[in-house]
Amino acid sequence: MMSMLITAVLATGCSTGSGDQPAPSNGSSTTPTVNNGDPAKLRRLVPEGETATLKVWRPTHTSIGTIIEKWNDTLFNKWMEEQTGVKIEWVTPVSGTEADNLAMIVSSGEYPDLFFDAGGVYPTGAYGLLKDGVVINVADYLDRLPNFKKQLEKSELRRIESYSDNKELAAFYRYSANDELATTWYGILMRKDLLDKVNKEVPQTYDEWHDVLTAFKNAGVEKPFLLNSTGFPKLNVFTGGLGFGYMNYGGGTVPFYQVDGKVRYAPLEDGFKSYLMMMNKWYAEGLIDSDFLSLNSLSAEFAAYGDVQSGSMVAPLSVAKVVKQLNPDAGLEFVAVPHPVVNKGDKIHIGGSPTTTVSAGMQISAKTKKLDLALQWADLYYSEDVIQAGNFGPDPSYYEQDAAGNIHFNDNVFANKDGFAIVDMMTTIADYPVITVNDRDINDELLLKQGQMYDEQNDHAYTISSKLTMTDEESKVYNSIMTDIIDYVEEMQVKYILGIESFDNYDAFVQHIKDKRIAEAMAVYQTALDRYNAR
Amino acid sequence: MKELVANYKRHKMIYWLTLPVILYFIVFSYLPMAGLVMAFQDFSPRKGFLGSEWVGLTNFVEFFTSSNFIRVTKNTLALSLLDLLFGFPAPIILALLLNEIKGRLFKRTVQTVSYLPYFLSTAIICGLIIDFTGSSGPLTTAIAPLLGKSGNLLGMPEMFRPLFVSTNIWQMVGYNSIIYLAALSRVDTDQYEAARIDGAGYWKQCLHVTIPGISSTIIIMLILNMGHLLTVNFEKVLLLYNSAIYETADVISTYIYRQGILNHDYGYSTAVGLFNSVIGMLLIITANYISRKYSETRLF
Repeated sequence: MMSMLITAVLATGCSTGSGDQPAPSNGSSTTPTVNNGDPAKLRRLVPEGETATLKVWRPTHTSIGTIIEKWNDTLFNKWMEEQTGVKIEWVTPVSGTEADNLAMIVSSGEYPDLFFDAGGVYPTGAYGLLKDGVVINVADYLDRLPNFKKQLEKSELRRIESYSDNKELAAFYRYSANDELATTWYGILMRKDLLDKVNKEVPQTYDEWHDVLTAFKNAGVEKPFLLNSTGFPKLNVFTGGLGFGYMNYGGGTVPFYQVDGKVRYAPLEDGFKSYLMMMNKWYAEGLIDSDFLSLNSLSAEFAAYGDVQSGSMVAPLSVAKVVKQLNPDAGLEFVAVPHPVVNKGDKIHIGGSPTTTVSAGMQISAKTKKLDLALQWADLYYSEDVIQAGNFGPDPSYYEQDAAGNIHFNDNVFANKDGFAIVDMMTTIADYPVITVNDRDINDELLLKQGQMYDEQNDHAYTISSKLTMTDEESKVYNSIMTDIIDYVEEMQVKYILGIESFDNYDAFVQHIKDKRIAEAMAVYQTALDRYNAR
Repeated sequence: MKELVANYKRHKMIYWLTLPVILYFIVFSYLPMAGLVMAFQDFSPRKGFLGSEWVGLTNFVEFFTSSNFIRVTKNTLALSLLDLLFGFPAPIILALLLNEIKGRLFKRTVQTVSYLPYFLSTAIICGLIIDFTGSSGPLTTAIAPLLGKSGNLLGMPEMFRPLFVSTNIWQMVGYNSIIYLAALSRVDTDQYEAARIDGAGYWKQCLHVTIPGISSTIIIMLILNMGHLLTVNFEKVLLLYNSAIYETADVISTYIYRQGILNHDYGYSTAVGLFNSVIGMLLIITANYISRKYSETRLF
């Protein structure tokens, strides 16, 4: 009797794995398509009276659950469904579980028809999904994708960043219009009211920074400078003036930077040591927040930004406005401060955000039974009408067009009466532009000006592209060596700043890194970089 | 077999009552053990169990020869042993003390207040600790004269173990004392009378009547705790530690967690988990054996 019960339980447990079987259909021949007219223009893909459904995996967004219920509700998606006749069934994992959800889907072997933005979630990126056989190589189908092909071939940059070393296309890449970088939204903020109080000018060099922070301290500010829990500000901001690029905390995790095509690792360079020594001095003098070690979560950081006792910080530029709104009586005023440099007039070569104009977008599953429909549907995103709708939405009440033909969102978005966040509002109107008009979500002139200040100082010459790919053997070597080294350096860097470790042992520290075979990892990375540069 | 059937006939209801529990353990604890095969594979979720490459003991060797193996094992054992040394007697002492209180209102209040921290989640407790040990936190300022230095307590490697163990005690002592209070209530009051007649004072009574009376409970709890020696509260360490105090705070589970971020190495993490479980099992079997030999109490 017991064994029967057990078997019954086992049976139920096992059968839930098989899930929903996709409706059997033999390839694209049974999917109805309409092919009259120009294949590049926006049109119905499905004959009147019939429906076709595509299943699409897509991470969720803060606007879902607040303004809208599901992805189907955005104005853009509703419009696309009307125009093309293709219904979309969105698979949206709970926020925070995207990586696990995607891993489960991949290992189950049952894929949806398309993936949106899976590259940012999958451990080996969009290209990893291609190598693992989950998605198709778009390059094989380029002839059937007139709109995408046109956009892809518009510039050399797009070609280099989209194609892999083996001339494959892992995804339908998203490009920024005119291949311009969006304005940096991350920078250095300093309390203007405190600067005025101590009668100092905005600091330009590291020495001037020291003077200003000391003045803050003497005026009774407890935390003249907020530092990250790792000892390094995020996104390589603030450290660029010392001539090295490092872990890009808050962005990707490429620990290397490049000078003239040669890979370098910051801890082996002098700039790294001078940074640690400077931070050590500042910490000993009480110029750095003495609790910086516990700022290891976003919520802790944001709490610190609004603290009256915080004098300066590396943060998103929009924080200035938000903090002021949250603390109207505290008299907080912020000013964006340029990257500090060693000598006035120096340029910065790395840092800030974002550093790429090309990102992986839609990917079509290798197992889809509706390949033809999926290809046509994805291609339509790159047609002119859809590009505009993707950026500003299909509803003209939300945007204005000026004399020069430029379109901007109007106050229905920016000053919407329900008080929703601009980004959320924007997403419910136009959620997936494949050619993105930069800065469409910023109407704050000040933010734009501040961001431009950083972009003028920075030529991004030391950045290594995130589209660099390594082969399987290279990855194995790289991972097995670098995990250990990164862990070791992260531990030591904080100890040097705190003064727990003395700088007398610095040479031993560098030697230790070399003993851990950093040269091998750098060599492997150099090969990958050379391949990238040869594209 | 015949005995089992006879026993079943006599205690039918108990068997039926236990059935859901047995099923729970079979489905959620025993069946998933099949997944342990990952420890011996170079596991990739895409290839699954049947497709991943078999690597035998490579994952284990990689762990044992990794640069921080000794440090993290030492830290794990240190934290667990300290927890055992100080955290195990604390609930017993609290139970003994509570047992002596005659005023019911006072006793109830103390019990309730001491149970409360148990119900707070680890995240809340750690948030409190981080706040209290900040450079201007209340705990820091209170301890500063004793320590001779001030500053963020969680930035000092030598403070981690005392903080960890003492906050564990604070959180768990009330709840853990419940089982001992229950055991104390079962001690025969006649024995106390007999002891008093023999002239035993309070301390002697405690030593010769109370503690032997609850000794079986103490030994069972001790054996059970031995199994956890290598698993320190991962969440708590993760929330409290930072790179400055890795030398005392980095334990096996947090080290593996960091290793996993770049590698997504499921096989490696499973291997270390398996290692932990095997050691725990050996410890329980040994403790049970010793207990069986030298006392009448045994777990199995």
